[in-house]
Amino acid sequence: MFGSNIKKKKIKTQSIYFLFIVPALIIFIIFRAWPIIYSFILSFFDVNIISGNTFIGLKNYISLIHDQTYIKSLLVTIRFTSIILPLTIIWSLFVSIFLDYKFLRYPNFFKSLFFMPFVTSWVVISLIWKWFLNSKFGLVNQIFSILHLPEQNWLTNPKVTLWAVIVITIWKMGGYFILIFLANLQIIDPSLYEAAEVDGANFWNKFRYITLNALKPAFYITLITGTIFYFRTFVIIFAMTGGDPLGTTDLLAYHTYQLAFRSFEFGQASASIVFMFAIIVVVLLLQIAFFERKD
Amino acid sequence: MKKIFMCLFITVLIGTLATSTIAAEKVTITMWHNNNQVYQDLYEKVFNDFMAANPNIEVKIALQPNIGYDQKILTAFIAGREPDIVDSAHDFALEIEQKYKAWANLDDYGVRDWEEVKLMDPNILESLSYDGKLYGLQFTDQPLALFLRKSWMENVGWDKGYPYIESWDDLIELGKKFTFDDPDKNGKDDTFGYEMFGSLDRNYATVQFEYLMNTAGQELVTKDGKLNINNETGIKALTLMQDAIWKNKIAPKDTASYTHVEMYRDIAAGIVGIGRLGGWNVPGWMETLNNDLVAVPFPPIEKGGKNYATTIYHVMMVSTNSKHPQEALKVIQYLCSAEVQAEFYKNTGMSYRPDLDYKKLAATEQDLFFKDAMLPTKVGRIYLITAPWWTADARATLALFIQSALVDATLDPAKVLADAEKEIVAKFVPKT
Repeated sequence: MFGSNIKKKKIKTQSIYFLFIVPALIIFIIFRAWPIIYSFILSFFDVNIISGNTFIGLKNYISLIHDQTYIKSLLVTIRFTSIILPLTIIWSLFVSIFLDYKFLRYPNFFKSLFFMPFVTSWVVISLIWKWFLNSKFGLVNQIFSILHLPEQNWLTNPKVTLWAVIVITIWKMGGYFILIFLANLQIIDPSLYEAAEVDGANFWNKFRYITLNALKPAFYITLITGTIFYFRTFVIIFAMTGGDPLGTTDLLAYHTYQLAFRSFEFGQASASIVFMFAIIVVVLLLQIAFFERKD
Repeated sequence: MKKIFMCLFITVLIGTLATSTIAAEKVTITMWHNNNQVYQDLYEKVFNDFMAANPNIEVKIALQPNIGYDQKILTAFIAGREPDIVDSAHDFALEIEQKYKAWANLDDYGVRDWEEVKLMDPNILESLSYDGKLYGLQFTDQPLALFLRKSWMENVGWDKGYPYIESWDDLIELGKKFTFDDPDKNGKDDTFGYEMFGSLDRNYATVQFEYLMNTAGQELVTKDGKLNINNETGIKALTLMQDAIWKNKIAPKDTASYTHVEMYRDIAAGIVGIGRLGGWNVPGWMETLNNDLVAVPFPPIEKGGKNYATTIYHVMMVSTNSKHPQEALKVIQYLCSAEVQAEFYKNTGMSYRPDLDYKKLAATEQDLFFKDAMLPTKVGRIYLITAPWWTADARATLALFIQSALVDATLDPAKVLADAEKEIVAKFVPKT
């Protein structure tokens, strides 16, 4: 009898908790879950906005595999992600160590400086940088000119533009990664370093065996979130390069957008989204397996 | 008492039925456009008059942002909430028709018998027909021109009279002076002689190339449906574009990344001497540049050659799903009337009707230029010719080749066009 009352009370409490999450759940289902499911369904259809959709099985996927521009876009995205992810992590790691330095003056100023780009709108940043990179009037070439470095066509040189996108993205996203590393650095017990010093460890040994070890969770989370984010990079391409020049910045998310709204191939665009989702899941599973094996 | 109640009941019933019948007869026509607030105000004004004369039709006009307009129309179609009437640029209207047959067949409603349609240029009507179906009606008519900065010509000592530039060589020569002779006399190297666009976004590279080809009297696709890019004119046009950036240095090095947004930005900043001008640009640019511009037709390739002008026009389509196509067409017919077209011309410089007294209506000399100097037969007109295979994807393929010549000064335009032709024919042109 007593146990049954407790159970009832527990169910009642849980129901109240559930009611609190219902509004968020409804929004999530409508604006997140359903579009994902619907995209998956659409990927098997020839989408016609007038006469309705026709089931075509895997034809959209096969078309994508045979589309050279799509494969090129996929390769550009893989290249972009595999370059930018380690660079972001290394940059963020060193900045966070700098910010964690106990004798650093005005730490809050520096933290704000590195974090500010992250909280600024992607569109604003992309448009400002587009102007900075202008070959004639841009700030970057003017600085290059002062330093007697060769001026670059940042937005139209196929060998350079992707690198410009990478640097801007690292600058923008670095704040998020720095925050994670910094939070992790600040919970390392200082006595570990003191003990290591007593044992005669030098700076490198302390960094290698204490700092890096303690930062494993941060590496784990940055690698996973970074992979997800970078593989889906869209706004900077949309607002700054438009995939130019010659498709060298035509990342998969932007290419998918073009498939839908420029080529009007909504079925193929949906297949592309599913394809991207599958690639990200596989990469994440490999990363998780790698970290678990290391542990 | 019972009878009184019965009478009251019947009266109320009749009243309700009558009201609902009237309400049911009144139809609402929705229309979207992507012009600007000037157009929106004009539309609202003329539709108020229209609704007063046609109490059974309510017209809801909505100005949509230009950026993302195409996407908004597509998503509205997907959601089944598209407007009855769409006002858009003719290239987008055609792409949607090619892909989805999204527009009503206006031949089914006998629109060719309208006086308003009989006044339309038959070539334009032909270009609004696809697969034997008339899918849209012309609302505006704008040949494209070039603008030149008047004060800059004086400052660099360019004393040739109208039309100031008579060949492509003249264009380059004046472009050089506008780039290197400090035409704005501010002591800074901050001007561009000639500006174009060359981005892959929305196939701007193809649009720019097509514009040059058209002004040289050629279409990218011939009337019998053949690709027409790899010829002497095509090579000259692409060479002009490439040399403007790299050899003559009169166009920005960033041209390959330019859409109309960047070009408009530079023009508004007052740093461009020569650029493409459409009638819709005139009011805004005249204001921004303090009336310091003059419109001229694009020059012939060689001095003494023939001028041509390409034409851009907005068109009105009725959605194939519209529940009230007759009423929608009544609205379009009203927009094509002399009264409304005159009102639009007075305020925007845009109208298609050849029967208006433009000299009386024109607000500025530049507005009149498009009707007085270009629309009559002084220059040849080139129209959008299309073929079923000449789709957005085919145009995108050409854009990629055009852009390759814009980012690499060492590429030979003749080879670029030959390669482009080979690939487009292999991928898109049906084998006969």
